[in-house]
Amino acid sequence: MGRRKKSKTIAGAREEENCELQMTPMIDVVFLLLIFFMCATDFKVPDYRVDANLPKDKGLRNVQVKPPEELPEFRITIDPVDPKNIDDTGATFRIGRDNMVPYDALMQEVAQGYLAIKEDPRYHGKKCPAVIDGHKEVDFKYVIHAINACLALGDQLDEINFAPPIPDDIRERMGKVMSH
Amino acid sequence: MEIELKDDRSAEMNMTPMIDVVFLLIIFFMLVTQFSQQILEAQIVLPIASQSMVDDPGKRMVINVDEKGGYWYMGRKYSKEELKSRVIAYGMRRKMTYKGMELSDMKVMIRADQGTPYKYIQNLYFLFQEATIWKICFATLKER
Repeated sequence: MGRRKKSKTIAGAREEENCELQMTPMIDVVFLLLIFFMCATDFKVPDYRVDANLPKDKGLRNVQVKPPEELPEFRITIDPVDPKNIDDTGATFRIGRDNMVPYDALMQEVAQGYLAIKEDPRYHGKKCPAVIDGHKEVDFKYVIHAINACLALGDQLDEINFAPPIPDDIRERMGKVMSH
Repeated sequence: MEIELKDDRSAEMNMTPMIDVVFLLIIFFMLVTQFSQQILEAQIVLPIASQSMVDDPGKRMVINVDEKGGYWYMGRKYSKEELKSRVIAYGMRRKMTYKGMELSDMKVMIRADQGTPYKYIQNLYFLFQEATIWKICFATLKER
């Protein structure tokens, strides 16, 4: 594919013929490839995040035991599906000891329950952690749902803690105590 | 003698730099695709949280946890023990890169599938505590 090109010539001089590479089809192909890769790429949906810092305690030896009434605590327990579950989700949420809460109402109940503890004169000026106590078999999304409900408290939330895993037999005994 | 000067020079665009740029773009997209696959891992479906904030990708380690509880880091699956050594090694590298940085300043992001049993996340808590890492965050999707 040559292209005739006339250079500055003196009349009567022989015309030169230059053989040049035709770039247009290559550019077409390259653009097609570019468009193909752009379309074939799965564009990444941006990640969001929820922050949660782990406690820095090294163990029981460093913990000073205080009477329970001096330590305000707001606990959200997440258990696998309970036969007495009040909705069709895959987890049972409880606030405090036995207050079973529907999945959709968790955020509202957390706000009410947490603020009630914060306004309690016994706990005035004390840090009140929201403790998330998830059963080992519950899906992670339910834990995130509980964290999300706590984060909705905004500046009023002191901190989020995670309860260590409780062995099944102890958890079962706790459940029986709670139900009575 | 009559001299005829014909000036029929055609103004042509130099395509070479454009082709260079286009090839660079192709290579960029190919690499980005590969990296995103390495970090995203096996189709992890993130949980949704309305209160989540925009993530600032950067100085943090990302650990993926699949639905069956497998721990993935940079395209490789690790056992819990292997992962601990990787986490500490990552922290040491950062400590050497950024002077004055301690392992406890390191941040780890957990990208877990919404269906992952919670016990696999709890295992990570213990692992991080053993490695003196306190700052963690969970990857989520924003509720629309």
